[in-house]
Amino acid sequence: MASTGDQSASVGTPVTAENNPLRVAADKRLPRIAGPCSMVMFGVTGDLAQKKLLPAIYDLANRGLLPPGFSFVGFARRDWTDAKFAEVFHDAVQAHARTPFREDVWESLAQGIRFVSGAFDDADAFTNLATTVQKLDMERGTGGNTAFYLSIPPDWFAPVTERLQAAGLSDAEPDTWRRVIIEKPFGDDLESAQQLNAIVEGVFPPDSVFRIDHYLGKETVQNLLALRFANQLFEPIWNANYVDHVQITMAEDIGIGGRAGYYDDVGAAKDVIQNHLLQLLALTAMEEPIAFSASAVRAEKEKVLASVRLPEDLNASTSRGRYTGGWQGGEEVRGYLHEDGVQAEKNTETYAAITLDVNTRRWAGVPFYLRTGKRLGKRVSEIAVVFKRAPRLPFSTGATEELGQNAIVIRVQPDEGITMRFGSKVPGSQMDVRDVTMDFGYGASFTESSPEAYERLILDVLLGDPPLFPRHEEVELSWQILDPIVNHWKAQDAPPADYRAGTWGPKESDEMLSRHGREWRRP
Amino acid sequence: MIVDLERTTTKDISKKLVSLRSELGATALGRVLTLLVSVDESFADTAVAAANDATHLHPARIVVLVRTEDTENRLDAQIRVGGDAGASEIIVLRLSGELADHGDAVVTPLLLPDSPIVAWWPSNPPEDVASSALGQMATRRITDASMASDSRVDLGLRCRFYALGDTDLSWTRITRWRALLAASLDYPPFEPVSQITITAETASPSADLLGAWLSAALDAPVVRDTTKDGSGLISIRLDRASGPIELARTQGPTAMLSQPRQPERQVALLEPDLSQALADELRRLDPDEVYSTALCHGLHRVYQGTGQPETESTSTPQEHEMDENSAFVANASMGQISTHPTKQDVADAVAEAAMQQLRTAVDHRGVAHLGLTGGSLGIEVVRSITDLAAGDPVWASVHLWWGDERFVTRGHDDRNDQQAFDAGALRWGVPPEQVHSVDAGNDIADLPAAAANYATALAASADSAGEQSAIAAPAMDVLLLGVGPDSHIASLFPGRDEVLITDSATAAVVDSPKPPPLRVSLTVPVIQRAKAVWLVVGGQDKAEAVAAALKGMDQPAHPASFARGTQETRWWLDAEAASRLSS
Repeated sequence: MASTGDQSASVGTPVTAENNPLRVAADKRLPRIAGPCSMVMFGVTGDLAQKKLLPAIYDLANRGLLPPGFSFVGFARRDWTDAKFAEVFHDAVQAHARTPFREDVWESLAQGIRFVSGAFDDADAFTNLATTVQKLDMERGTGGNTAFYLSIPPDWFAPVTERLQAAGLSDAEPDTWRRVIIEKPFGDDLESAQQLNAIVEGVFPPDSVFRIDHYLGKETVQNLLALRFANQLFEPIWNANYVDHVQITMAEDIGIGGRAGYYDDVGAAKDVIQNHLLQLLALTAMEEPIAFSASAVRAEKEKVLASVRLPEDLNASTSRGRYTGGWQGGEEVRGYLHEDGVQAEKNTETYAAITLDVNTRRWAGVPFYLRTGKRLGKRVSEIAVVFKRAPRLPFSTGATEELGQNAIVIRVQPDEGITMRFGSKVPGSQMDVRDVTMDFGYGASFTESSPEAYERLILDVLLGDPPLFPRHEEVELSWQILDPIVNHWKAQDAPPADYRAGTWGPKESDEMLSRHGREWRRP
Repeated sequence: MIVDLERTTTKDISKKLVSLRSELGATALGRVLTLLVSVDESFADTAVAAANDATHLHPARIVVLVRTEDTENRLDAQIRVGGDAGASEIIVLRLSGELADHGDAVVTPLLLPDSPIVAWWPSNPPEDVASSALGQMATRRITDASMASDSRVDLGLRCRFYALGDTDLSWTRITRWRALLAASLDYPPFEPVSQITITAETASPSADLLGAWLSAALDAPVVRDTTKDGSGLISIRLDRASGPIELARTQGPTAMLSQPRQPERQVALLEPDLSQALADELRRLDPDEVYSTALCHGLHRVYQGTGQPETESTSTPQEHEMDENSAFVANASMGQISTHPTKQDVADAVAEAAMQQLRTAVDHRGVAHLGLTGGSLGIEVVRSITDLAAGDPVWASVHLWWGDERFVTRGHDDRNDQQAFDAGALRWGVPPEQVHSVDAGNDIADLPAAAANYATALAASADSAGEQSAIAAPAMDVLLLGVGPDSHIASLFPGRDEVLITDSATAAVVDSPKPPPLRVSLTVPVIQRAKAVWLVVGGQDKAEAVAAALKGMDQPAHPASFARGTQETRWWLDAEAASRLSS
């Protein structure tokens, strides 16, 4: 006889706002499709929009996750028609989309593509934008819901949000929503971050502001929470009793390219540590959230960021560097000072390493080493949790000479996965213990198909699902951590230490760890 | 890398895998599942390609079992790793001869430790996938009703033998439709759906399942409109007070969503190809309760709503008028006789009368019991009922029984239930828990248990009057019985002890004079408790038996003479079977 599962969840319940009988918890294969909406993007001509955002929109459409009638409005200074913009969009999709190009998917997406030409402070253009959004609502049924994606330098946040408000675009009617998406940098220091926040949250309510840190959309980063809190294996040793120290690395092999105008003012620490690395630190070090909900996760992240302390001696516990010319990966590359548009007197660092303490019982005495840089040995991001040595070894010293410290390494990119390092006996008649690694990879081909972080994040914005987006408080806490370090460096008024392109940073950085009898892991 | 191993054993295959692993690096260790594919030679390449594609997302060890036509007992294997297998590791096993029946034994050593096992039958799955050798190993079993010659029969089997972990690709393919429809109810107005209309080609298991899901979840009636073959799934309409929500396929893989007070909205609606569907299926390995609800609690509503074929007017000139209130004694002694020119006419007339009988019973008591019979005419009746009333709402309240059953393996062509299923009985819309098949098997040692189980099932359905008697069984509203040239009914053969059993509802029959030798039969007391016993007989070779049976009562040499119902006994005869009756 047929046996069937529990069906009480769905059968015949009435349709209400809270209860959709077609959407039951047991129906896990049913994807969430965003409700009717449109998106307005400022800065569609930018590099990020062309390479990541527009392709991500198409990929979402191709995966069937955008609502019927989804409409997309580009806003830029170019004198383009809708058709011309659609063409630009099309080219960006063909060049960079992750999923295969399908004419019919494109056709149905293209019907909702509009372009509004104007400057970011041009009142007429915003009136025009308001009319366009309204018309789309009437023609294509976007339900009065609109997300504004500000893919523009932060200097423009203020004028754009003010104009949006003036044109009446920021006010949501009942039962509709308006959301704004902003990209890092969220300010330049604590003060500017607060100002920026005041501007944005002056127009949009805090719940409607989505700060995109694309790192948080990555599969491995989300998996970190699963690894820690879904397993029994790791959490018992995830503390100062067993952990010796933690290394968080984000290394890039590229230089600054054409971004001198931006980068020369910012430097590695503000560009990467303030957002990506401190977020990774928070996820690594935080306590178990009471639920996997936005507010519960955020509460734990804020607690751990608030408990971060800087060591007293910033000279000994931080390091900065600047790449010189060299041969990287078989190619001759220029030093930072010879990149176009770089001003030597700014003493901008392209490498930054800092030591942080997390002042909680769990982490007391465990240093967190964070490093990032350009033109390093290879492109890699990882979190390495390095464990203490076994308190006593019953083997002869000779047998364990080659035994290092156990480690769990969460590889964020590339080759997403987890590596565990531990000692194993070398085959043979002698007792020799040597380090081996055990590897979990998402699979060779998996990475190709796993959704781009931006796809995930844009969809979450449209669904109004905020767990992966840092809140204003987290941003401010991050600046509170970083500001004293950056100010310390500034006060020194000296150029950062040099390191050769293609190496793992300046020797001062190695000394920073060797003072504690530790060394950087070679990723 | 592709390695061929001819005339090999699994031991050698395992060895080769280990040596390949050390040559090429860790291959199978990171695999998250074992995918078993059971496939015919003709479909093997397509299936391997789809499985390989699908497992890009879910690195797997794929073990493909190909049954060849070769009669020699041998195993040939091909191992594909590295560039030739993408993220996976593929082992194609070609099984010939007797070995082809023992695929489970062959794959056992090749299963990955600890990780889940998924079995996939791209076409021709066993009827009871969960109990099949491969199915028992797997936590997830994937079938594809769209590959079946009659998808409704196939889905009927899927429901009948449903076990946690079963799923079907025709269900996977409608996820996108379901998502759009679910999303359309996420926003106001929040109103009940009064009717669901599904338009699709006749044979569309996806459309049927979609309707079943909607109907079960929304508790609304379904109308299933059919379009010409090859047109696929055309549209869904949900009627609500403020106006319908309609999702209709337009040109190409796009669709138009229309809702009241909203502009029409176009949306891409791609149907996933085989590998995408499979990849979607592998994403989750837990039981899909929503599927089982649609399959077993929604499909009958769809079949009920399917445009029914025009009923042919059955002219039955020679039919004797049926006396609705005929008295027990008058009936029992002799029975009434309805004669029709051909077997087909008999079958059609029986089908129509049976439906009336069942409707009346359901109207009065809310439940009805129908006993089916095998034999060529018995199956013809089933077919006529299928044509006449498949999907009729009355079936939801009907229990199906069999007068007897051949004790052979499940799905064997000799089985009466199988023959009825093949003739469309699964499409009638009888809830699977009301289809009371006799257990299958072929070991004589299991026969008594099968008979006992059938008796237990009968007792469980017995009405209160039945419970008080020694043998508990429901009073069949209609019990169809064939009659053999030797006058046997059910599996009660002339001159044998089974005919005389009075203390049991069922009889285990060994050494049946007619093959197959092992059978389970209703006994005379159960037959005689039936309200209406209808003997359906056709053909010249039965004429003598009919004449003999009608001459006397309760003669062990003529088991048919025991056949009578409490309210009605009717002989449905074709001209040939009636030829020896004195008029």
